[in-house]
Amino acid sequence: MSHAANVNFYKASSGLKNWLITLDHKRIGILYLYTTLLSFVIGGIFALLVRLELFTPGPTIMSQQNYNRAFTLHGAIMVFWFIIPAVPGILGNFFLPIMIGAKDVAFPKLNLLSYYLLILGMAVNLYGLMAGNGADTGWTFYTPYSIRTGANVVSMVLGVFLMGFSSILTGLNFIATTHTLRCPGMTWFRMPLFVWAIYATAVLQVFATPVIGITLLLLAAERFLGIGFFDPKLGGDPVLFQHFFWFYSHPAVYIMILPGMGIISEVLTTFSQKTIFGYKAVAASSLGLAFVSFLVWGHHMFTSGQSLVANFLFSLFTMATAVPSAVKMFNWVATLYKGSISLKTPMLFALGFLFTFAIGGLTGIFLGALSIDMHFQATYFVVAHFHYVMMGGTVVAFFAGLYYWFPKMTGKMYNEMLGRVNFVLFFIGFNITFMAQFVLGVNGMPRRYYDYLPKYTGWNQVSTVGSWIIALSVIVMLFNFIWSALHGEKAPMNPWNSKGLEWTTQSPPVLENFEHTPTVTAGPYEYGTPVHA
Amino acid sequence: MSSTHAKLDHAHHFNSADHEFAAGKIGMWLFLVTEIMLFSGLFVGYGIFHYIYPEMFREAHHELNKVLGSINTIVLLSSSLTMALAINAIQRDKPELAKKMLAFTFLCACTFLCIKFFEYSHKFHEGLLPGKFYSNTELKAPNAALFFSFYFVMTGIHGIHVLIGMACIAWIYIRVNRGDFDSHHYNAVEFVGLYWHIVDLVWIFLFPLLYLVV
Amino acid sequence: MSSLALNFLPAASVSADKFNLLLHFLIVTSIVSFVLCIGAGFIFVVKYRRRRDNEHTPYIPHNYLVEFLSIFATSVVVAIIFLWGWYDYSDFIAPKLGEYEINVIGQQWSWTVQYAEGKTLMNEMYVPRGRPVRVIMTSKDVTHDFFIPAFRVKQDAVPGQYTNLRFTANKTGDYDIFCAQYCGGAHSGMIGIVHVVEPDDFQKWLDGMYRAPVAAAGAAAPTMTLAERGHGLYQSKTCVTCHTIDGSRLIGPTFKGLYGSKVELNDGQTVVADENYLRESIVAPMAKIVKGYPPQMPMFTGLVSDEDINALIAYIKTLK
Repeated sequence: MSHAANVNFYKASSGLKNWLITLDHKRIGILYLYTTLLSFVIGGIFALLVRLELFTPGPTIMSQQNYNRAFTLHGAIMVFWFIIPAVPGILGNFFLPIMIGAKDVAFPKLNLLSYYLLILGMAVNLYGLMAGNGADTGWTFYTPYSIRTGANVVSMVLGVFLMGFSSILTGLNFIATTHTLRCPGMTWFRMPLFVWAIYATAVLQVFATPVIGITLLLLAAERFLGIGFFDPKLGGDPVLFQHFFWFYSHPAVYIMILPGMGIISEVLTTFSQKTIFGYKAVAASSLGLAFVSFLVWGHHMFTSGQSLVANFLFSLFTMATAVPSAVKMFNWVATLYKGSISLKTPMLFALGFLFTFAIGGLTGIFLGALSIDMHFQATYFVVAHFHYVMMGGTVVAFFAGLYYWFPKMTGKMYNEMLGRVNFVLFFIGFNITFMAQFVLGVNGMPRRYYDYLPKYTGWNQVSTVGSWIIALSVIVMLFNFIWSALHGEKAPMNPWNSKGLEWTTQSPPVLENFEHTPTVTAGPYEYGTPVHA
Repeated sequence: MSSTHAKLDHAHHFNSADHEFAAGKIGMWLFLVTEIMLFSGLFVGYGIFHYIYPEMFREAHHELNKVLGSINTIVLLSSSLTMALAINAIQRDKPELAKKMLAFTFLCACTFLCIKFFEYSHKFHEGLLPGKFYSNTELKAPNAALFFSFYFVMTGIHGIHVLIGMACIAWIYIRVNRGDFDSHHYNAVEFVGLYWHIVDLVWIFLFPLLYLVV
Repeated sequence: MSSLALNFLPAASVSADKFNLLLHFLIVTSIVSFVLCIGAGFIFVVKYRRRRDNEHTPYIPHNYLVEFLSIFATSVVVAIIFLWGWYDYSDFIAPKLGEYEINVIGQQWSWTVQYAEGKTLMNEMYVPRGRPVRVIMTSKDVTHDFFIPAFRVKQDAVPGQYTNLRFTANKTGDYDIFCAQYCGGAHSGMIGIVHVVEPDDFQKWLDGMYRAPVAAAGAAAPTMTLAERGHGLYQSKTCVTCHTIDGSRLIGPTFKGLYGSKVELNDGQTVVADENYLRESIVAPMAKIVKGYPPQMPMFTGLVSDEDINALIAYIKTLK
């Protein structure tokens, strides 16, 4: 036991150097917090620029080329800088060890290396943006366009490769941590669902990410050496790139959403003071989704000319993913039944998640139906659908998690009033922005269009106005976090009366998380009294 | 990954050295999984193009030197054996033997890369280069450049892994020399050994795929 | 016209009608399941909101009947949707008897439409109503996607291979063609029109005897000046995708002030943009590349007549 057992981890040591070379999982989590929130703001600014450009048909604020770069950067930054590292990096790092009663992750040095690989990847991307002339391929880097364009694809690709390596090492670390560092009594089925979700995510990170790694290396080699794998002129097959790309990038969608689902399970049980309905079903559905996600990549390519059999199977498996997703939805709603529901900000976001994620999930079924996808593929319907899943799902869950664990991470309470304003603005703005895009998609407006026919103007303007409301809500949130971290009320150990292990230590936690290694004797959501004792 | 200082038996967040070793082993195996996934991407790509252009692959592979390829296979297999013997020696507290075995492994890796160097320069000379640099005029099959793209990309990435392996072996050698390891503490030796076996395993697949096309 | 209508897309093919039926089924099913699930959640939130601290809640860890039923119901519904979607899709793409074949080539950033009878169009397509059509597609450069929203069908045009798009138009009229696979630069300008006409009119059109009921852009209306006709061609022949008339830069140089100006080429020479230069730049664009611009423009040989070229040059002359 360390001599600093009861000093909180902020005070354990000071100075910038101690932060930058820290091996404490909580501090690394805080480093990720700053980095990924900054990335979110940068990606968001590009989103606002894209929406502003689309306010009128034809040129509005930027040239065609700059528009193509802007949406590429919005996509790439949001996916690779923000949404993949954010929840595992911040909340996974900070809370996974605490929630299983460990003192740290299994490999603290590797954890720090993951963080710096992310930073290095970002730096390589930025170098390409400054030194070259940006990238204009879209975040999907489809060949042969990405081979032929004059833009700087290589820096984008190598940066993403490094970030992928970072993601692999994080996943590897979390798996090893979960297997070996659970405290006495923490059996597999006593683990919180957030831990299960991070675990399932980590499995995906380890298994899927190397494939994007080799794919992007091949793309770089294609540009340097013209190896020809994806170039029809040299006998290659451009569609093969899409297969390779989506073999990773579809599981990556679950890398993005599963941790969010884990957060929702924590928040819903705490704020309804009720045990989770169907613990094993929710845990199993995380692993089930992780598994099925490897079998559905071809649904991004229904109109690419792949074989009929492929389309049949990919559509079938895609439909199969609806079942575990629905199981989660039902179990979350059932958890509310006869609860004691308190509408604090994290709970508002969690309930908002149920609303928006249900829409995202249901519209996913539309896209999985082959005949429907013939029309919707690559239209704004797809854009709206994945924003409902990624933003309405992951980002909303991420906000729920930030508010929920804010007292534990900072030792201060956030401002409840601002939190609720944040939620209401976000919820309204989000639904306006992306509902409008569903309508555009149904009426056939293709995505990644700089210019559009005048008939699409109305809904584009609605969507752009919605994006401003989202921006306002994010400003409110950032203000709330910064102001509360500095001037908020001191947080008690367990402000939400939660049964989670992370609430049994100080806010903020001590250096080794607990003063004495805890012993667990019951499941994670033992709220309420048994009906049939 | 794991540091075994004289004064500290194991890192503070583990219960014991065995505990730390178990975690390290899981981590190492997961890392090997990622390596296999990485090469799987290449193998799948190879399979697809072999299926599209079977004739071209058959004709082009005769340009590779089967004798040198076979020698390299034997060299790498022997190095795997000596790597295993090195771990065994450490487990039996015989650092001197372990050092000999590690040195032999390292030499095998050097031999492998030397032979690869001669093979590469021969290909360069013949114009059998990947993709757009391909300038050979003797091969009749169309798109033969693709085969050499695969050859250079696959053996190139494998070669980088051999180089990294050599650096790790050298690092382990220095630490054995320093007396860092004994029969209770040999995590790093074991992990480098696992890595080296994977590097060999990949070659065991590459050799028939590239040199013995049917 | 801009509008906030929910559905302003015409349905003009057999597949569009089938699409709409399944889409409506999906919308209704989704709304019902959304209301059941989220509505229940909403009722719970209202009914069981916290009234005082430390309320007791029942311990309900699971209920196998409810769980089984929900999984079962979900599976049945998605199975129906899957089979329906597959059934319609296999019908959309199945070869039909008496198909009329049209070749389409995508390139950055235009569609070339070739008819077996010899006609070649750019970004424009005529199809007969009621007859199954098979579009055989490929691409010259990068992957494109031929998308006709009113028909509810699309298909990638992939370089180095042929792909097929099938539809049977069932309403006459003009409908949009979009490129739906991002192809860089002027991706959003890679659009065109498909004209669905009666079979008799289609035959007349193939024979060169068809006059559209409304004068198509660029068609010689007697009251038009040559420059006005050129303006129509500027749009219908897709010059507009890459060349502006207001001095701003797109993929290619602007037309504003072009005529009579001195043009610097990428080989260092300078030429005066006279009639011969403009004509050559239309029929053989690779002959002289303006400095700082990519050699991107497609050849318009055979796609524009001498009369069209005269009209375009007359139009460019007006852009001072």
